[in-house]
Order: sequence, then C-alpha cells, then structure tokens
Amino acid sequence: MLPGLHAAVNYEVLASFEKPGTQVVAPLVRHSGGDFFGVASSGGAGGKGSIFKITSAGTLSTLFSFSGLDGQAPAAGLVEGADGSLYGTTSSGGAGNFGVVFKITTAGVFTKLVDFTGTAGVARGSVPHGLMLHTDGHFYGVTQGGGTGASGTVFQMTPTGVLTTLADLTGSTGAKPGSEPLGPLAASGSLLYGVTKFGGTAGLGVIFEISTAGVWRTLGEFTGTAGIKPGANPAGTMLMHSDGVLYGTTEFGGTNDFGTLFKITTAATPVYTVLRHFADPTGSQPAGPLLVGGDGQLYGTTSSGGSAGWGTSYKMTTTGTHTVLTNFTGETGVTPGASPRGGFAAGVDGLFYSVTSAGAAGNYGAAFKVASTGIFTTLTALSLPMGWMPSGAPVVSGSTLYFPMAAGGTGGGGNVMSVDTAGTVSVASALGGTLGTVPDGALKSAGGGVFYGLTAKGGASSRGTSYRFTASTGVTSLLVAHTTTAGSLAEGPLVLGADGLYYGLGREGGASSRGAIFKATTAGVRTRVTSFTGTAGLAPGGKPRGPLVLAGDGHFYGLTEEGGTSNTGVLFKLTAAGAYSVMVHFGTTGARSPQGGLVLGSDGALYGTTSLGGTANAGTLIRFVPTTATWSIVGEFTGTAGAIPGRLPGGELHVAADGTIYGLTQAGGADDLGTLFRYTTAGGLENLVAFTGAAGVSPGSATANDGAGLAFTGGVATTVEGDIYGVLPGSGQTGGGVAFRVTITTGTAINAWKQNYLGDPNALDEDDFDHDGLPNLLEYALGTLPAFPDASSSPQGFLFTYPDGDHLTLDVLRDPARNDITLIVEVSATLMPNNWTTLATSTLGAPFTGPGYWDGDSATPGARYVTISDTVPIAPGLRRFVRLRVVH
Amino acid sequence: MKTYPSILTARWMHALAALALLLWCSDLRAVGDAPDLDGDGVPNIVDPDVDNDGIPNALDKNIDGGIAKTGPYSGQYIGDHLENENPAEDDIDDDGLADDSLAETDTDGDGKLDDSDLEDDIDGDGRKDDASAERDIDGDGKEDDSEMEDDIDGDGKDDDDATEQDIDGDNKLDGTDDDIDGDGKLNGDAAEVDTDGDGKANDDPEEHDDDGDGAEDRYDDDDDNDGTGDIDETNHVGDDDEAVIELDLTRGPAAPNNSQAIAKYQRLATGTAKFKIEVDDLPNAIYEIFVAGTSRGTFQVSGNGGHTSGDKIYKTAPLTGGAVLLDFAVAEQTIVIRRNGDDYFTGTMPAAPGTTGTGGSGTYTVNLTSTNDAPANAEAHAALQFAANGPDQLQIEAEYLTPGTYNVIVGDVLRGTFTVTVSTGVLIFKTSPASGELPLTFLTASQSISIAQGSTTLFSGVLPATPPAP
Repeated sequence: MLPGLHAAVNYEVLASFEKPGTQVVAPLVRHSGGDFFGVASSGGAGGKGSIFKITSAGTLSTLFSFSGLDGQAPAAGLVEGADGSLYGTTSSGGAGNFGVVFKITTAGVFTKLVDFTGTAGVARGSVPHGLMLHTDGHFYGVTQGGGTGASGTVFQMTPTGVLTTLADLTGSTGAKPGSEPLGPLAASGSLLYGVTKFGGTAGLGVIFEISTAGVWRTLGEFTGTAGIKPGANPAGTMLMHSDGVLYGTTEFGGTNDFGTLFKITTAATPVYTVLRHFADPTGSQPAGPLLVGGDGQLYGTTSSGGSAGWGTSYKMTTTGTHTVLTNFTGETGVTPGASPRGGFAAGVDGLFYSVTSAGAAGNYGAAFKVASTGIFTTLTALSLPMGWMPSGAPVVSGSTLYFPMAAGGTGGGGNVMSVDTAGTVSVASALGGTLGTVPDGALKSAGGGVFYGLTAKGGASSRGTSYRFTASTGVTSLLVAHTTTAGSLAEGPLVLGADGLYYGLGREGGASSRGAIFKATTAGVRTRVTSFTGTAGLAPGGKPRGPLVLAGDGHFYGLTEEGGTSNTGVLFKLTAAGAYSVMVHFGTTGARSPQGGLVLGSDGALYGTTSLGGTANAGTLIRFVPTTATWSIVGEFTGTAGAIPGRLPGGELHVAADGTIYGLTQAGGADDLGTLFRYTTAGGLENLVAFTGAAGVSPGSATANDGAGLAFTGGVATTVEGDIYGVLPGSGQTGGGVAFRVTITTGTAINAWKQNYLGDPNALDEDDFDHDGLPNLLEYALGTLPAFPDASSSPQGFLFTYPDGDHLTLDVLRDPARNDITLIVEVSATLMPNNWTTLATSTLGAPFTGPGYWDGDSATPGARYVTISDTVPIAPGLRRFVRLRVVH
Repeated sequence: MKTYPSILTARWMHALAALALLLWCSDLRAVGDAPDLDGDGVPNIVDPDVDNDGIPNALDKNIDGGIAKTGPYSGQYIGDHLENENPAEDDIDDDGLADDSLAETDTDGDGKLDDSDLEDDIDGDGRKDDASAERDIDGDGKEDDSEMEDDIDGDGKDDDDATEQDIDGDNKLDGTDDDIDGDGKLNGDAAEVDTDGDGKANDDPEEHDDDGDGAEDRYDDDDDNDGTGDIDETNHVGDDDEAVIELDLTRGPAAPNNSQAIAKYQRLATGTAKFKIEVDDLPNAIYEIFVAGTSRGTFQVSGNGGHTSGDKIYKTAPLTGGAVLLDFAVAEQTIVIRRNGDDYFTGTMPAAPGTTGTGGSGTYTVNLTSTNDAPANAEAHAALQFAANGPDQLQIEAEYLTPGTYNVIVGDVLRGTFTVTVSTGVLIFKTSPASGELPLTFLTASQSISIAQGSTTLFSGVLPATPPAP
C-alpha cells in the first residue's frame, strides 16, 4: 500500500511462462501405462530440475518441478515401482543438500522418501544415482559420494523409504575399492553388479559385484588406454544379458581414449573382453546404460563423435559388430540433437526412445525415437513454443502490446510476444537461427505496425541481429546481422535519429572490444559510430546499456556500465554529427554503475538509474539536464526494506503520458526479487510493487539470467487508460517469468482499506470474507477486521438512564478519516421497512447531528465513540429498536 | 486483543521460505557478486578447481560440475551435469562469462589464456585443438565448420577479420598453418572444401575469402593459403572479377616430343596481375620469351635425372619474389618461346573470361573529401588509370591550397610529396615513370588516400578497386 496515499495498487498476472526442464542426462522410462517419463537436471519452475512426461505421440508436459528442499538436479532415470508410482533420486537438494530419494505418481503427487546425510548416519551417502527394483521387492541403489569412505555407497531401500547401507566404498584401495558408483545396478538373482566412475588403483573406475546381503567382490579395475582391462570412467551402468554375461561401456579409455564397450563374465576369475574401442568418426564417449533390443543386440548412445561430432545412437551385436543408427546434427538438420547421455528406453512398438541433452531448437535437447533400421523421428524439442524469460518492456501499439521473449520458442531463439488489453498473451513471431536469438530490450515502433528489434546472439555471425517485425503479418525478417566490428551483444531498444537512421548500442565489440554505438538504415546497412575505449582514450566508457535517448537539443545521450575514469561508467553525449564526449564520469562512491539506459522526461531532462549509490548503496534515480550539463540524484532506493524498497535499479525506464516515470529494480523489496517504482517531481520516488517470486501477491522476479552471464530485466509500459503493463523475466508460478498488469486506484479511504486488508481495492461492500455476519462496509465503519471474525465487536445496544427515564442507546465509533461513508442511527418500533426514524447522522465523516445525538463527538481529528440515544424513553409494552445504517 | 489478519503472516512465511531457498541454492548468487561455485572464497574466474572435486580444471571433463571434496559443500554435488564439450554448456568454467563472449579469454579456466602458446585445448574437452576429433575448438556449441561459427578459437576476433592471424588458435599463424581451420584437413587437401572453416565452401558464391586471411579472394593470389599460388593451382576457381586463363603452348619442331609448356595469366579484382610461363623437359639452356612479337626477357631451363624445367613470372606492382614487372598486355597476344632462332613453343592467349581483350581499362577519378582544416574552396582529386594488367598511373591533383609542401599518403604509408607554389599541386605515380614522376609500386585497390600537411589531414578518400565499367 502506498504510504500516505489513498491509493490502491492492484497487481494482476496476465500470463505465467513455463521454464522447461533442460539438461536431460538420464534415460527415459516407459511406464506400464504407456507414457514415458524422464528427469531434467536443470530448469523447471524452480530452476532446480524437473520430472516430465512424454507420450508416445510426443506430447511433452511437466509433472513436477523441484524446489530444493524436495530435491534438486535429478541425474538418473526413474523406475516404476510395484505400486505404479515412479521412484527416483536427485543428485543434490533435500534437507542436507546431499540428495534425496522420492516417489511420484503419474498424476504428480510427490513424496520425499529419503534425505541422505553424507558421511554418517542411517541414510549416509550423497549424490544418489539410479535405483533398481529387485524381484525381492526392495529397491537397490547407489550414492556417488558420502558414506564412511566418502566414496559412495550401495544401499537397499524399502518402497516406504527405509534405507540400509550395504557397502561403503573405499576409493582407490581398500576392501571395496571404487568411488562414484553408477546406477541402476544390474541383477542376477541375489547378486548385483555395478561400475564406479572413479576409484580403484588407477583411479579409472572398477566393476563390482555385491550381494543383496552386502557381500562385495571386485571383478576388475579399468586400466585406461591399454592394459588388461582397457577403459576408463564409465558413464553407463552394467547390463546383464540373457547370455549370462555382463556388458557395459566406459566413456574414456580404450585404444583411442574415446571409450569402450566391453563384456565381463561373472566367473570366479572374470574374463574381460573389449568388443569395441570407440573412435570419433563413428561415435565416441558412450554414455548411458545399454539396452537389449528384441533382436538381442545392444543399443546405446555416444555423447560425442559421429559424422557431425554431436554424438550418435548405435547398436552392436554381442560379438562386436557395430552399426551407427543416428548421427546427430546439432540444432538443425535431419537428426537434430546433440550429446545424448541417457541411453534408450524400449517402446512397446519396438522402437527405442531417448532424449538428448542438447541440440535441436535452442540447444535445449529433443526427445526422439529410432528404429533398429535407423529410421529416426523427432518426438518433440524441449524448447517450449511460448518461450520464457521476457527480456524487454512492452511497446504499445493500439490495443496491443509487444515484448520480446529471450528463450525458447519454436525456433529456439526466443519470440516476439503480444498481449492485448484483455490480457491475452500469445506468440507473435518466433526468432532463431539467422534471424538472431535472444532478443534483448524493447522493440522500437516505426509506425504502421512495423517494429525494429535487437537480438544479442545468433545471426550469420552469431553476434546478434537487427530485425524487423510486422504486426499485421506476424512476419519477422532480418534487417542486418551484427558483427563485432560495429558492436555485438546489442541491447535495445533502438532509437530513431533525426537522420532517419536507427541508433543502438552493443555491449561488446567495437574497435576496443568495449562496446560500440552503431546506426542502421532500414535497408539493413549498419555502421559503427563510436567504439568505447574504456577508462581513457577518445571515447571513455564501456559496456553501454540501452537505450540511447535523443534529447531536445538534437543530440544522443547514453549510459555505460563500465569505463570512465573510475571504471564505473559514464554518461555520454553523441552529437548529431557524431562527436562523442563524456558528460559525467561516475566515481568509486556515490551513484555509479548504471545498468540501464536513459529516458527523456516530460520536463526535458534525462532520467536514468545507477545500480549502486545512495545512502543505502542500493542504487539511485538520476536526472541530467542537457542544457546545463548538470546532474543530480532525485531518488534513492533502500534495499530490502525502508522507505523505498528496491536495489540495483536497471533496465528501461518508461515515461507515461502524464510524465510519471516508471521502472524496475532488479532486486530489493521484502523478497529481494525486485520492485516496480514510479517517480514524479511532485511525489518523488515511490515503491508500487515488491515482487514475490513463485507465488504471493505479486509473483515474478525482476531479473533472470541465461546461466552464462547474460542477465535480463523486465520492463513496463502504460496505456492511455493509465494501466501499467509489464513483464518480468523470472519466477512466477512456472518459473519462466510473467506478464502483469498493475492498476492504481486513487480511490477513497474505503478502497485503500480494502486493498490493505483484503488485497482488493474493489472488493464488494456486501461481501463478508470472514463470515462473521459483518459485511465489508460495516467492518469498515465499525473499525473491525474484515478477515477475522469479530462480530462481537459490533456495537451493542444498552439502556442509559436519563432524567426522563431509560433510553435505548448505542455507542457508535466514528472515524473522521473515513469520510466516504455516512453513518445513520435509526430507531423503529416495528422493524418494518419505512418505519425507521433517524436519530443522528454523520455525513461523510462529519460529526453526528440529530435529535438522538447526546455526547462524544466533535470536529476534531481522531476516531471516537459517540453516544446516540433514542428520543423516546422505554416504557412497559413499548417496543423500540435501534440500528446503525451505513451508506456508501 | 485482536490479531492482524493472515496477510501479514503470509508475508513473513514467504520471506522465510525465500531464505530457505537461498540456503539450498548453492549456485545462487547475489546480483553483482563474482561467481564462486564451490564457496571456497576463490571466484570461479581464478579458481583452479572451480567445483572443488579434486580434479584441476585443466583435467576436469566437467569443470563446473562435480562432487565437492572439501569446503562448505563437501560431499555435495554442485554445479551442472554438462560435460565441457556439451553444446548446451555455454559457460564451461562458470565464471559468468559466456564461452562465446568477447570478454572470455580463458574458456576452460585452466589458467592458460585461449590465445597463449601454452593452451592446446581451449575448451578443455580433452581433444587437442589441432586434432581431427576436435570439431568445436572453443567449445561454444557451434561446430567449427558451421556457418554460424565466426570465431573458431573464441578469441574474440572474427575469423574473417584481418587482425585474426590464427583462426584455429593452434599457435600457428594462418600464413604458415597447413590446416587453417584446425579441422584435420590440410588446406590443400581435396577433402578440404572450406579452408577457413567458416561454413561456406570455397566454391560457394558467398565465400569471398577462402582462407579467412582478411584478403578477399579477388585480391588474394593464394586463395586457400596452401602455399601454392592460385595461378599454379589446378582447377582454381576465382571470384567473379578474378580473371584466370591458361594456354597449353603448341610444341614446335625443335622441341622434344615429351616437352611441355604452359602460359598462365591471373588478374585479381585489384587489377594486379600475374603472368607465368612454365616449361618441362626442354634441353638445359636459356630461352627467350616473345609476347606479341616483343622480347620480354629470358629464362633458364635446368635439371637432371631425365627431367628439366624452367619458368618466368611477370607481375604488376607491387613486385614480389623475383617477378619481373608485367607492363604489357597478355590476353589475345601471341606467345613464343625461342632459342637460337628456333620456335620451341607457340600459341595465342585467349581473352580473359568475361572481359574485353584489353581486360578492362580507363580512368577512375575519386573526389577526395575535405576536412575542416582545408581551405574553404579547396578541392582534391585522385585519378587512377587502369591498363590491361591493372593500374598503371595514379595522379593526385589539388587546387586552391595555400603554398607549401603536402604529403600524399596511400594505405597509411607516405608515398610522396608535392609542392604548391601558387594554388595548385600535382603528383603522378606510374608503373613506368618519367622524369618528375614516381614509380607506382604499391597497392592501390581500395586503399585509403589522404593529403596532409604535417599531422593535419586536409583531404581523404578511398581508391577504387576495379576499373570503370566499359
């Protein structure tokens, strides 16, 4: 609630964007119900991985997103239990961040079964891997770390999560050599077989046998590129073939050091045989478990190599005849995908199903199926069509707003999105490939439904692009592909110069690799105007932040985050003729390090933000006057609390039609997830909304990043009706950001009261939230709490003795500040409608007047109880009824 | 006493939940903090073992993901599950700098800068950068041969940039690198169809710089930088305005039956040209070359072991490698190799493809742009005259200058001076200069030209690359 103002801020989520699970490094499992289930080690709504379902037709949906306490980063496949639930593990997360065992129903009901405890405890171990359901009804699994030897464990677990450690591995030597065992184990009766990624004498991993009673036997230790057991560091588990022999792979080692496929007998003296030394041209670095096909052959995947170098799928006979089924082709091509690390799951149709960890649109991976003949079909890419992570303020065009989405989309490179005033959000156009990827910063309207935008990456040189979007056709076309020469990693929006060219900023590139200012014609000719030179030189500054602004004097002005004498950024001027000069060198203290551009205020001054500075060093709003070349701080943020919550303001500012400036802070507010603020010269800087993450009253977070150093901030725009539309790149219910609308109701005191207590300034007067018999209007009038049953606090009638006898009396609370209601005390002898007589009235906060007023009121401020009495004394046989009526 | 409604209570609980999440997110960092994955106090950007798994970055197959062995996250898995080489891994060392960022100078965080002589595996995937198995040298997820990969070694310099002298970052300069793009195929291999690895095949109409040396093929006389000049390549395909003609000369009665002679002519878009006569298996001796009936010098044939050979090369300015100045027309001219009055080989050169017999000529005049330091009404022009074999005259004129001495700078090099005694000055360069003229021995095509007095530039412009259209 805005302090000191009778205004209500209503925050409404128009759309929540789903952030999919990504980085799938585990195999799928086919459920008995027919669908496939898998895990993603990253992404999901919480950014900590997820469980997903893929139908055989290729429909992808998220079943569950991990949040940390319930687990994080699942890296091993699921297994179906006897109860039809799916059981799995996460490599981290849980109470101690050592990983968990969980189960989940196909409907998504999640239960955590085990919290691992590290090097000690009943559930010792950490980083659990794949589970195996034994015919004895127990699950058997491994942890890759923890245990008494800090090298992992083998454990048995009941379906209800009762865990028994069977073995604590001992690392390079000892009774149970090996470290980082992989699951699931293979079984032959009561004997279980597995491999470790490391450990043993050579540190290259071991093959072991362990009984369900915990009796350990080392079958062999890998010896690298030569030796008696060539191979190293397996990334897939053992397979017990129907021929009674164990088969497995190592990711490295072998003759070419590109991995092996081997077999080993389980005899008293195991016989180890390499069936294949993988070689890069035909697939290298096998990863994931082997699967026996209906033809008895072994099916698997290699994470690298092949004709395109992005990995393969293959089959191999038990005598070593190898056939490549798939050469993955990366983001595009006939077999899109890259780096499959999970091996296969068998479909009932005889086909083999898997998910790649990368490749396909956006390099998020794809689910596919392949036949033993090699016929390949993509089921679905993990890049969701709607995309996620909005990356620039909306731009209003009529009744529609357009904004960029940085990630996802059918092209894997983000989208141009639209939202109408009804709040419907949809994809306007998909980006990717040569059009550019990762749109960053708002679009620039060129009129006539034509917009220009910038992408930070992609394009012919992978340095981003300028593109043109036409709203009427929904077509996006390339304007020009960027190179580093004229500036790369561009951040929008573009600005139209007086010369009809569009000016923009690249945070990298230029002659000094510190960014550049460029201009582009609508015909697609882009030239560099200025290269930033860092802390000195001809154009001090570095890492410019968009946008530029064209001031009233006809010159451009802008901000850089770095460079200048203190390397904390500058405010610069670029004349129409192209002359560059620094107006402000930000210092080592005070306002500094801008992370957004400038905007032209209605007073002709330029406004911007600095991410640092101010008393709380939480960032500032600054004002620069071009005519005098002077600047000042006009507002300071106060961090997670204080008068103006917010810190690290950044991104684009927006000037509304009435001159109000709106913007976002990237952090701060109670949840430190950013805020929406506004500034007016009269009112100063005010906080409107503090974002609340995945849930709460204002879901979303003001900043998000791509995991590789590129951060995005949302932005806002206003409509002629005064509504604020905005986007946030992070959080929200589904983790991929939100589109929102904020309405500010400068209403009466009752609106503010409703907003404060009910979260809705327009809640109905007649509603009774707490069901205490007092509707909101009465609660307001009586000063009671609308969300807490307190009917007993309503005024009670009583008899007061006056000289002429007892009179029915009410003590009524009157608060002069509640000047939007009228209080009327009435009396009746019959309770019939139209049979009430007014005793006293308080009109819109004024003192009570009327024949029934007795005592207690005045025109002074402050709430008080006022005594209102019936004018007729009580007499035997006389009925009198008194009521308080509130009119709004 | 009444209590406040549950709204405030919910706010506090939410804050507690957010705090709990912060405790669990081992890779969550406050905005603006340097990433420190393993929490050992050493930022990732300088941490020799980013994930503290006991494997130094230089040996770690997943630099930013593993089980921490010590530190605040001991025993826990921290980081991601992507191997260094995974194309979805876009920050191999988790230093907050994307692998394809210009700011990333040590992609695999092993302490060896990407462009260091000590770095032989830029992306730390265990494949040496010059190994044929390494398909993505800088580990940015873009295959080196992909048209989307414009910086194979990830050093921030575009592969097509003239300043990028080691495209594959293998510490062998491209000029001496027999595998410029590091794809395992030597530059001259028949299998190497994309010498600079930019995704455009050498014969792609869109490929204008086969070897990525910054010199467009139309200006480059060794397009694929394999050490064999284009004129000597078999089946060389030049760019549109690169003329190449060859002629197998006809053996005369005096020449042995097994002898051969070939005449080759190559003219680049710059107008520079090369003319070469090669002979095999003529008797050891000195032979004279006649072009259009005019002697153009002699050459020695020598050899032993049953094979002899000899050649003579003519070239327009700038002269290199012992070549003789090519200042005569070749196309459609008769060629004779003669000794002691006997014609050993003869022939007539064909016209250059797509050109007239004279190969394009005429004068191209450039009006130079004045700076603020030039007198208000001063003017300057540069006129470049093209002959059959390229530019043969450059004339600079300036008017309405104040008396004094002025420098002419072409391609950032001072080429000559002229003096203004009244208001006009002229300077002439020619391939065959007369008295008072200077030799035209430098490259003119697309070169910058300026007129300066001291350090003050008065006029500037760019010389043309091609002759005017007929």
